Amino acid sequence: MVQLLLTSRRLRSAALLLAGIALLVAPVWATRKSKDRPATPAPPDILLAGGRKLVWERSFDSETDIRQKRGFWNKLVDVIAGEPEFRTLVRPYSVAVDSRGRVIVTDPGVSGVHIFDLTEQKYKFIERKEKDKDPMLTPQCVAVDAQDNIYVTDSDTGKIFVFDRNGKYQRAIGSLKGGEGYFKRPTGIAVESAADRIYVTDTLRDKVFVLDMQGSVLQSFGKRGQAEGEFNFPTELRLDGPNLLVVDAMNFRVQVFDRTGTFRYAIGKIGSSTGAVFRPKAVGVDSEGDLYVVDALWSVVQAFNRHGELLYYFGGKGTLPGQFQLPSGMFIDHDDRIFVVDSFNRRIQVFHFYGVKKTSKDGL
Amino acid sequence: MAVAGMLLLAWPAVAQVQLGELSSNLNGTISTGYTDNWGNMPDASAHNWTVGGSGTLSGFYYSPNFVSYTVSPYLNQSRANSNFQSISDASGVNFSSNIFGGSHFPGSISYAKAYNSEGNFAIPGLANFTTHGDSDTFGISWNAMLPDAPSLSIGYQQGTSQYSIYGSNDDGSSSFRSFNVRSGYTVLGFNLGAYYATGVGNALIPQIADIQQETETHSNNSDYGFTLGHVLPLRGSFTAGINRADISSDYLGDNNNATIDTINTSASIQPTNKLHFSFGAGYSDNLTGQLFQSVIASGGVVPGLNPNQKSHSMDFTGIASYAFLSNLQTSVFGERRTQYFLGENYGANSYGGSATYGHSLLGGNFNSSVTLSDNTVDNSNVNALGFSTTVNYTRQFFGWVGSGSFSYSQNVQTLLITYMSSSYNYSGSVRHRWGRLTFGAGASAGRTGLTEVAGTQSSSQSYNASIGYSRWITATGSYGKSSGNALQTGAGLVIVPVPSPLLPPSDLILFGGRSYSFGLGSTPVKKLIISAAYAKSNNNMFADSLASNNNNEAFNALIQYNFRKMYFTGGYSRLDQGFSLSGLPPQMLSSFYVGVSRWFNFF
Repeated sequence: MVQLLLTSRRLRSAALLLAGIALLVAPVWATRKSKDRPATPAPPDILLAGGRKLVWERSFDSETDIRQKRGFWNKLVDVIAGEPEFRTLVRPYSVAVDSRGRVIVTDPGVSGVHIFDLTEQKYKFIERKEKDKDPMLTPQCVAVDAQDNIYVTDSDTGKIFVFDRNGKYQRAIGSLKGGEGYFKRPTGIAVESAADRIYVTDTLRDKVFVLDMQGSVLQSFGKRGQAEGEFNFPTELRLDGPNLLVVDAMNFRVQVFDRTGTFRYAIGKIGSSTGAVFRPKAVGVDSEGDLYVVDALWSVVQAFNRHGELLYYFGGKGTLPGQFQLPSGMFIDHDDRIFVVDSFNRRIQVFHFYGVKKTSKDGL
Repeated sequence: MAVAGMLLLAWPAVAQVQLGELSSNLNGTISTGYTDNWGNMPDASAHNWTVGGSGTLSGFYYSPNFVSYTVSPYLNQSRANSNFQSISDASGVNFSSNIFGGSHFPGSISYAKAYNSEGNFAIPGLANFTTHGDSDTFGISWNAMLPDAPSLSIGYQQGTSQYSIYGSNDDGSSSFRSFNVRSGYTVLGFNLGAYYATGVGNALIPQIADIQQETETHSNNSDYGFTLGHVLPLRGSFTAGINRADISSDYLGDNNNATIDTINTSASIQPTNKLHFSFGAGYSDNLTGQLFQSVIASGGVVPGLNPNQKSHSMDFTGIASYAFLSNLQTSVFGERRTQYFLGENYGANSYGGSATYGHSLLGGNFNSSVTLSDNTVDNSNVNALGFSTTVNYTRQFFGWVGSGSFSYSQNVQTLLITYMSSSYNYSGSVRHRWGRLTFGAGASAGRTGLTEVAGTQSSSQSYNASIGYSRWITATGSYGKSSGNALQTGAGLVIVPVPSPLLPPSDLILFGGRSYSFGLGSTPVKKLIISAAYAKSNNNMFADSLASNNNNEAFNALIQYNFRKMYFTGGYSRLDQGFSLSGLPPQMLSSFYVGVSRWFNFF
C-alpha cells in the first residue's frame, strides 16, 4: 500500500513536471511555427551585355535574420524566460558597409543605427535618444572612415554623431554651446580619411560643407538654383575616386563635383519615361564606374553610364523579393554587392552585380 | 486538476489560430508568488503561495467589421504578481464585442465582473479611502443608421458593486440600471431628434460619517423630449428643444416625486466674419424640481425638499460679439431672468460686456479675459456688480519654464436668482534642468462659495515638487488641503451641486482635512525599478451633531526586474485606515511579497 502511494505520488509529481514543461515549451514552439515564412521565389537574374549579370542575393529586416544558431543553454533560457526582443527595421533610411563587411543602417523610426555583421552573424544597435547631452533623435545618413568609425547625420538636432567601430560614442560634430546644432538639416555625408575630410550636405541651406576631422568648416559650396553647381534640396553624398556625387533632389539629377567643389557633370532629367529621374534618393558607383540612382517614385534603381545614358534598371513597386516600396538609401561595396534600403517594406535587399572589373576609376 | 488546468493553458499554444472564419489571438501572463500578511484584525495574519494569471483573447469572426471580441480574464491579481497593485487578490473578467461594426446596424456588448478588487471611497481634494469588494457591469447598444432614414440608437446598462471599507465595520453598495433610445432625422432642412432615457439607482451608504442616518437610498428618473434645428441665413442656426423629466427618490422613508418640463430655444447668426449674434430663451415649470434633479444626478438624495411646490423660471439671453483683432474679441450681453418659488416672484436683469485678449509679452505668451456685469433684482435695491477675469502667462527665463494662471469671479448668478457665487483659483508651475538634474514644482488653490452667505465656502490647496537626477533617482512630494460642504453618496463624498442653504442641514457633511505624500523612484540599471511611496491623509467630518476623525496612511515599496518576458517582483505594503465613529481601532494591514510572472504570446 505504501509502495502504491509512493508510486502514485511520484506519478503525480512527474505529471505536474511534464505539464509545467509543456506549458513553458508549447508557446515557444508555437511562436516559432508562426514565424516560419512561406518560401518566396527569388527574382530571376538580370542578364546584361558582355556576360554581365545582376543577381538578387538576399534580404534581411531584423536581428533574427542574421543571428547565429542558438546553443543549448540559450535555447533553454529562451524556453524559460522567453526569447529576447530582437530588433527589427522600422523606418530604415540610409546604408553603408564598412571594411569588415558590416552593414550599417540608419533608422529614424527608432532613433538609432543598426549594425548587421553578416559574416560574424552578429548584431548591434546604437542609440543616444535618452542622453541628456547631445541626444541623437533622427539619424539620417551614414558613412564610415578608414578605421570603420561611423558618422551619422541627425537632421533633427543638426549635428553629426561619431561612433567608433564598436558603436561607442566618440563625439558630436556641430554641437554649439547651448546644445543647438550648427547645421540646419544635415543629410548626406561622406568621409575621406586620406585627406582628413568630411563632406556634409545641409539640405535647407542648399550647400555642401567640407569639414576637417575635428569638425571645423574648411569650405562650402552651392546655393539655391537650377544652374550647374546650384542645388534645390541636396540630399545624399557619395565619394567616387576624385569625384563627389551629390543627389540634387528637387532638380531631379545627380551632380558630380571634384573635391574642390568644381562642377564636372550631371546626370538625370525630370520625366515620366524610362531613364528619367523623378525622386532621386541615393547614388552609388559600381566597379565599372557606372552610376546607380535610386528612384523612390518608380521604386527602381537605374544604372547610367557617365554620359547619362540608361544602361538597365531593376526593382519595381511591390513587396516581393527584388521589388521595392519607397526605396531610400543604397550602397555598393568593393565586391559590387548593392545594398538597397527598401524603406516602406522595412528591409534591406542585397543584389550582386557581376561585371568586368576595371583596374582604376578615373572618372571623366 | 492542476495538471488539467496547466494543459488547458498549454493547449491553445498548439491549437489552430483560425477555426473556419474565426480568427483569434491569445496572450497572457502566468504568475506565482509568496505573500506574508499580518495585521491587527482577526484572521489578518496568513502566508500563502498563490498562482495567478491574466490573459487577453481577442479576435474576430469573418471580418473585424462583422464580429470582433476581446475577453480578458484575470485570477488572483495582487501586488505580488501583477501590475494591478491591489492589496486584495482580485479576480474577474472583462469582455467586449462589436457586432456588425461595418454595417448600417452596428452594436456592442460589454461585461465586466470583479471579485475582491481594490476600490476607492472618494473625499474631494484629499486622498481617497481604500475599499475592497465585488462589482459587475453590463452594457449593450445597437444602432440603425440607414441612409435617408431616421437614425436609431438603443442602449442598456446595468451595474452593481458591494464593498467594505478597511477600518470600518460598515459595508456599502450601489447599483444602477439605465435604458435610452435616441433617434434623429433630417427632412426639408430640419434636423429632428427625439429621445427617451430612464434609470434606476440604489445605494447603501456606509455610515463612516453619520451613524444616525438610515443609509439606503433609491432614485428613479426618466427623460423624454424632442429637438428641432434648422440653418438660418447669414451663417446662422436655430435650435429648440422640449424635455419632460420625471424623478422620484426614497430616503429615510421620505418619498418625493417631481415632474419637470423645460423648453429651450436658441438662434445665432454671423453677418460678417467678425460679427456674431446669438439669442436664447428657456422655461422651466418646476424650478425646485431642477434643484432636486441636480442633487440626484450627483448621486445623492434630499429629504425635506418638496420638489412639487409650485415654482417656475424663465430666462432670455442676448449676446453680440465682435472681433476687433484676431487676438482681441469683445462681446456685450443682456439677460432677463424671472422665477417663482416659495410663493414669491423674483426677477433679475444682467447687462455686461467681456473682452478676450492674447499677446506675446516679455518673451512669453499672455492670455486674458474680463467680464463685467451689472445685476439688479426687481423690487429691491440690490445692484451687484459682477466681475470675472482669467489670466494665463507662460514664459521661459534663464532656462526655467514657468507658467501661471489666475481666475477670479464675483457675483456670478447661480440657478436661483437669490444667490450669487464668488470664487478664485490660481495655479503656477516651474521646471528647470541642469544637465542630468531636473526640478519641478507646482501649486494650485481655489475657493468658491455663495456671496455673503457664511458657511457655504469650499476650498482646496495643493502643492507638489519633484527633483530627479537622470535615471538614478527621482523624489516627489505633495501636500493638499481641502474643506467644504458635501453630500454623502455610494461612491464617496461629493461637493454640494446646488446652493447649500437650500438643503436641510442634516443632509450636509462638513469636511476638512490635509494629506501629504512622498515618493522615491530609481532605475539604476535598465529594466530594474526600485520605488517607495508614503501617503498620509487626515480628515474631520461633521454631520448630525457628530464629529468624526478619520485617517488613511499607506506605504508601498517595490523592486521589480524584467528579464525578457519575465518579471521578478518583491515588495512591502502597509495600510492603516480608521474612522472614529466606527468604534473600531484603525485597521492595519501589512504584507511582504515576492513573485515572478512570465508573459506568453500563445497565438
